[in-house]
Amino acid sequence: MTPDWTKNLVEARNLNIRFGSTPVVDDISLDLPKGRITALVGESGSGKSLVAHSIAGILTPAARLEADRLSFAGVDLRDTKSPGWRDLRGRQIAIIFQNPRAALSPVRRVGQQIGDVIARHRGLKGAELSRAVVEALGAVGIVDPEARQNAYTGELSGGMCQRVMIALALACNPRLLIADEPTTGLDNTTQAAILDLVVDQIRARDMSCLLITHDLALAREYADDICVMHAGQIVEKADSARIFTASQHPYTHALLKASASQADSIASLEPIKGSLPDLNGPLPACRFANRCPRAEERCHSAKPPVSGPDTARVNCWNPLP
Amino acid sequence: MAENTATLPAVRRTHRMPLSKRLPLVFLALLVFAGVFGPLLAPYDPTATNSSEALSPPSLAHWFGTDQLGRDVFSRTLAATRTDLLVGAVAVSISLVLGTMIGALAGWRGGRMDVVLGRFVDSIMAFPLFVLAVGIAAGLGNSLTSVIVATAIVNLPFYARAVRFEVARRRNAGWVEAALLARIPPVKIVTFHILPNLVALLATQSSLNMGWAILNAAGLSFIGLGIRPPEAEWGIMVADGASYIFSGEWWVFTFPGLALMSAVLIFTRAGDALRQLLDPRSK
Amino acid sequence: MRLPRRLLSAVPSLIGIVILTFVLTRLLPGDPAAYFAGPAATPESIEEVRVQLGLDKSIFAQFVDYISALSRLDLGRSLSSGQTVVDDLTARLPATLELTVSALLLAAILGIALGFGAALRPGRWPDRLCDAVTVFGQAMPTFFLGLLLVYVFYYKLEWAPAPMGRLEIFYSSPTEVTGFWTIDTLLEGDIGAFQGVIRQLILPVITLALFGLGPIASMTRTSLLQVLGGDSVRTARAFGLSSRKVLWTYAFLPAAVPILNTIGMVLSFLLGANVLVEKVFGWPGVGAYAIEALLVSDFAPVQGFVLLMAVTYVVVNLCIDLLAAAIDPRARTDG
Repeated sequence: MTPDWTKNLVEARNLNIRFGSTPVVDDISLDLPKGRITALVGESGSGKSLVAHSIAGILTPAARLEADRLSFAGVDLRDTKSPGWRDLRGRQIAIIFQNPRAALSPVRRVGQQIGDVIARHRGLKGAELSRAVVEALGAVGIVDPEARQNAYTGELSGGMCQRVMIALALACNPRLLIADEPTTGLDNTTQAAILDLVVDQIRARDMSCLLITHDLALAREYADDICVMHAGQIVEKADSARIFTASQHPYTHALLKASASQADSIASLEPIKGSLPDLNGPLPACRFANRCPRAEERCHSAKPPVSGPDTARVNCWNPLP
Repeated sequence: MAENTATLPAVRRTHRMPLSKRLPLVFLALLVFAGVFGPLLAPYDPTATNSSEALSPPSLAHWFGTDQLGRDVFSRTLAATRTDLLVGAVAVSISLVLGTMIGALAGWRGGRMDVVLGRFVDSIMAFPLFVLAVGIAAGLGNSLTSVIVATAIVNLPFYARAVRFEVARRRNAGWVEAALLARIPPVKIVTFHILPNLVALLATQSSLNMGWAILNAAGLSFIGLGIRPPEAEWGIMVADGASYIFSGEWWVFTFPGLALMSAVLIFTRAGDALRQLLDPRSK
Repeated sequence: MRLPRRLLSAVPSLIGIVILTFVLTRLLPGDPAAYFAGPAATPESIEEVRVQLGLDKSIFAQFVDYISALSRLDLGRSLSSGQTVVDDLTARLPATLELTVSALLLAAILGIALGFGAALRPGRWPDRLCDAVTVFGQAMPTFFLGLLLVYVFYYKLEWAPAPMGRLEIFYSSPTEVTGFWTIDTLLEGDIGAFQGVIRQLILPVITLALFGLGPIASMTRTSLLQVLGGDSVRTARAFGLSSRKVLWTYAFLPAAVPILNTIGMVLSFLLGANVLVEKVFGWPGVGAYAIEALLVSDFAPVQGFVLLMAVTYVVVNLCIDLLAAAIDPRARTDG
C-alpha cells in the first residue's frame, strides 16, 4: 500500500498494548496532524514510550498490540511484515532515543551508521553516499563533519552522540520524527541546544514531530499540542497554551501544580497524591480515580466520556470548569 | 484473586527449586554413596582374575561383561568410584586450601605481595592446564601423589582469584578497620569474619571443580601417569579397554567411560544446582 | 603505537612460563643426578653426571644456564630418539597444529552457528541443542569420546579408516612444504592422498571440536542475546535496515569480542586434550611424542613440549587480542 499524504500522518484508534495480562496502554486514540509538534506527556510508567514505539514498529516482542486502526499516511502499521511498512521506517518515520550513546552501535563509525541508513533508503553509493553522510552531519551543526564521521560513539560526548542520532534520523528527510525523551541524561545547556536544533530542523523541513517527555514545561516551550497520559490512558489533549491556562482534567491540574515553573514559591509546590496504580491489580475505569480529588462513584465503574472541541479535549466525568 | 496469580509464581521460584534442578543433588548423593560403599557392594572381587571367563560380553552374571583377565567390569567400575572420587576430593581440597590462603594473603596485604602472588597465579593460567598438569606430574615422577598435586595446582587459580577479589573488597570496610583497632589479629579477622562470607561461593566452585579434577586425573591415568594397574580406576580401565575395540569387545572401555562421564556430569550439574540454591539471586 | 604495547603485555606471561618450566625440572624428588645416572651408577659417575648437567652449580647459575640455552633454542636432547628436542618438536608440530587448528575452526563455526540459532530462538530447539551440547561437552572425556567414535565408525560401520596416524600406508606421504598435509597433498596435485588425509582427520577433529564446541556456543548465545536486546539493534531495526545487516553488522560485531576470547580459552582446552586425542588416534604429533618420552622418564622432550604449548597459547591469545582490537574500538582502550 502506498502512502496517502492527504491524510493525517498518524491515526491511532483504540490502541491497546498488553504485557501478558497487564494492560499497559489502555484504549487510546490519537491523531498526529501534518506540520505540528505534538508532545506526549506523562510520568514514567505512563506508557508514553510504548505508544511511540508502536508507531516506530519497535515494540518488544513481549508486548501485544491491538488497535482498531494504527496507520501512517493511510499505511497500516499493525502489519509489520508488509514491505510497504518496512520502507517507511527510517525513510518516513524516524526516531531518536533518550540514551544516544547506547542507541548507536559502539563498533561502527558514526558516518558508516548514517551511511547504512542512507544507502538503504536513498540507494546512494560511493562518493555520493559519503557526500550525503557529511551533509547530514553538517546539517545538525557538527563542526568538521569530514573528520567526525570517522569517530566511534565512545570518542564523542553525550550531546555530540545525540547530534549524530539526529543526523541519522533526518538523513532521509522523514515526514515524522519521534523524539523519545531526547534530552534526558544531558546537561541543561546541551538540552536546550539539542531541542532548539530538533525544532528548527522540523520547522525548516516541514516535518511533524511526536515529542515524548515527562516535563510539562519543556512540552509547553517546544510543542504545539500537548497530550497528557496517565497510567496508560490519555486524559487530556489541547494546544499547549490552553493546557496551561485552562486545564480541564484533575490530573493535568495536579501535574501543573507539582511542576516548579508553575508554582509561585517552593511552598506552593504540591506533590500529586498517591502513585501510579498497580497495573496488575484491579483498575478503576478511570485510572486516576483513586488519586483524584474530584472522583465520583461513576469514575470507578464507567469509562469517562470524551468532551470538548479538537483543540481542548478531555476524558473525564467531572472536568474542571 | 486472579490479579494475584501473576506475581505469586515469581516469588515461589526463588525459594523452591523445581525437581529437575534438585535432581543433580540426588544423583550426587548416590554417587558419593557408591564411592563410600562401592567396594562392599561389588558382586565380585574387583581384582580377582578368571582366565576362563576373559572378555565375555555383558550377561546376567556379569552385567558389564568381563575384561581381558576375566575380571568383572561392573565390580571394577563400581570399585573405581572410590578411587576417582578420592583423587578428585583430595586434589580439590588442596587447591581449595592453598588457593584460599594465597588469595587471602594477596587480597589482605595488597601491594607487592599481591603483585607477586598475582603473577604466580597468572603464570599458571598462561599454560594450557592439562599440558601443565602433564608437565607437573612428569616432573614430580610417575606416582599417584604427583597426579593429585598436578590436578590441585592447575585448579588453584580459580580459588585464589575468587578469594583475593572478595577479601580485597572487604579489606577496607568499616568493621574491618574497627576490628583492627580492637587489636584482633588479621588472621582471625580473615578466617572468622571474611572467609565465612565466601562459603557459598567456594562450595559451588568446589563442586564444579570436582568434575574437572576427576576428568583431569582420569586423563592423566589414561596416558599412563599415576595410578597403576591392577588398581581399578576409570581412566586406566578405558585405556585398557581401548586395545579390545579392534576385536569388538566394546564393553571393556564403554562402561568405565560412561561412569566417568556421569560422575563429571553430576558434579558440574550439582555445582549449578548448588549455586542456585545458595544464591537465589544469580540468574 | 598500540601494537608494541600489546606485544609487551605478553612478556610477563612468557617470563612466568619460563620460570615455571624451569621449576618443573627441579621438582623431581631425590637427587636428579642419581636419577639420570641410572640405577647401576657409582658415586663417581653420579658426580660426573651432576657436573655434566650443571647440577653442581647454584640454583641461580642453573637458571642462567637454562635461559641462555633457551635463547639459543636449545631444549636439550631426547634420550630415547637421540635427536635434539627442538628437531623432534619441529618435525611433529605441524601434525599437532593441523589437527588443533582444524578442530578449533570447526568448533568455532559450529559453535557460533549454534549460539546464533539459540539466541534467535530462545527456549526453542536450537536453544535446547546449544544447552545439551554445552553440558555434554564439558562432561565427556575426550579420550572416551574418541574411542567411542573409533568403535562405531571404524569397527562397526567401517566408514572411517584405522586410527593410525595421518595417512594410511598405501598412500605416499607428501613432501612437506607447509607441514599441513591437507595443503601439501593438494600442492602435489595428489587428490587421492588429499582425500586420504581428510579421512584420517575427520574423527580426531570431530572429537576435539565437540569438546570445544560448548563454551563457544554458549558464549555466542549469551553475548548475542545481550546485544540483540540492546538499544543499538533497536535503532537499526527502527531505521528499516535489512535483517541481514542488523544481524551481522549491528548484532554480531559488537558481540564478537567475548566470543573471540572464548575461542582463545577453548584453544587452551584443545591443546591439552590434544595429548589424549593423539594417543587415541595414533597421531604423530608433539603430544604423543611427549607421552612416549614421559613414560620412559625422558624429561627434556616433556619440558620442551610444555614450553612449546604454553608459548603457542600465549602467541595465539595475543593474535586474538589484536583481532579483537581491530573489530571493536572498545577493546582498544584498556591497558
